[in-house]
Amino acid sequence: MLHIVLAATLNVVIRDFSYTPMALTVRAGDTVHFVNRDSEAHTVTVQGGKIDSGGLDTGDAWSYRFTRPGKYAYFCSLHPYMRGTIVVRP
Amino acid sequence: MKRSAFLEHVAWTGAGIAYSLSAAGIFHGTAVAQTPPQAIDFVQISDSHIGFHQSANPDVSATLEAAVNAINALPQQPQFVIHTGDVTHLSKAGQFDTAKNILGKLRAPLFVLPGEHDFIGSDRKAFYEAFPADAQTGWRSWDGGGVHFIALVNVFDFENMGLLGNDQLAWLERDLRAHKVSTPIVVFAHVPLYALYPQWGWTTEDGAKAIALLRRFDCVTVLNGHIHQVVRYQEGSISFATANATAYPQPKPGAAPKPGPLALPHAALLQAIGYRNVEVQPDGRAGIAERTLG
Repeated sequence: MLHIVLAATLNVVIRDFSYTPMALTVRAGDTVHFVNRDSEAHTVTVQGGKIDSGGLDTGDAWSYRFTRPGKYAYFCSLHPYMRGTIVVRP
Repeated sequence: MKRSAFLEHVAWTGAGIAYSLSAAGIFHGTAVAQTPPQAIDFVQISDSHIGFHQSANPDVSATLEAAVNAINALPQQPQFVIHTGDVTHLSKAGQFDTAKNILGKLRAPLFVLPGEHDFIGSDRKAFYEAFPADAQTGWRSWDGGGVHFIALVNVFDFENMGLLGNDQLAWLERDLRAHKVSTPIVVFAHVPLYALYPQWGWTTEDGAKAIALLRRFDCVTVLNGHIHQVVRYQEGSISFATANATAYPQPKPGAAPKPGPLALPHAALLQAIGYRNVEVQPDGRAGIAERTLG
C-alpha cells in the first residue's frame, strides 16, 4: 500500500499581542502561515536566526516553509514579550 | 554679526564669551574664561510612525508635517531638533523617504535616533541610509552651550526590551569621565532608561548601569520617546521625561490590557501629540514646555 503524505499548511493567528497557537508542531516540509489580525503591527522573528517576517501590518500575512527538523523559538521584534514556538518533526 | 547669529555662535562653540549692549545699542563681545550665561534651547520630537494608517491617526504624515511647521514658525529657532525614534512604522523604504522629506523641511539642524520600529528586519540599512550617523556605532555625544549632550541607542538588541550593551556602556563611562560634576548633562534614547513599566516593555534592561554612571553629576536630564505620552520622574539629580508622539497616544501604564494605539476623537488626538521645547539653564536645570498640535 502506498502512503502519500502531502505537506500541509498550518495557521498561526496574531491577535491581542499573542500568537495562537503559541506552540505548534509540524512536519518537515510543512508551511506555517502567520496572519496578523491585531490592531498593532507585529513580526515573527526566530531567535538567533535569519528567519524574519519583517513588519506585519494589520491584515498582513507571511508564510514560511520549515524544512529542517528542530525547535524554532520566535518572538515579535516590536513587542518581545510576545513569544511562540514551532517544533518541526522529521 | 546679528545678535541671534552671535548667540548661536556662542552656544555652539561653548567658548566663554561675555556680552553687553552699550547705551548706544552697539553690541560688544569679549572673550573671557567663563561659562556662557545663556540658556540653550532645543526641540524634541518622537514616534512619528510614518506608514501607520489605523483609526488612531489615519494621517501620521500630516501630523508630523504640522509639528515641523510649528517648529519652523517658532520666533527663535532652536539650536537643534532631535527625533528620538520610531520615525517609521515598519522600516519600509517608502516610509523612510516620506519621513526624510518632511523632516528635511526643518530649519534647525536635525538629529535622528532609531526606535525599534526603524530596525525591523535583519539589517538596519534602511534607517542609516535615510539618516546617516556620524559614527559607525550610532551612539554619540557632543557639546553645545556648556551642555554635554549624549545620544544613546537602546534598540539594537530588542529581544530583551531596551538594551544598551556592554560596548555602549563602556563608551559612556569613557565619555563621561572627562566631564566635571557641574557640567549639565542631557541624555537622549528611544526607550526609557529606567523601569517605567516593564510589563509593557517600557524599560531598558541594563539602563540602571547607565543611570549609575550619570548619578555623580549635579544635573542630568534624560529624554526618551517610545511610550507616546509624557511621563516625568525624578531620581536624585536625574530628571527623566518621556515625550508625546507626533503620531498617536498610547494608554497610561496599566490603564489597558495591552499597550498600543489609543483612538481618540480628532480634537483630542491633536491635544495628545506634538513636540516639546527644552531650555537648559547654565546650572543644568531643564525647562520643558510641551507643545501639542491642538
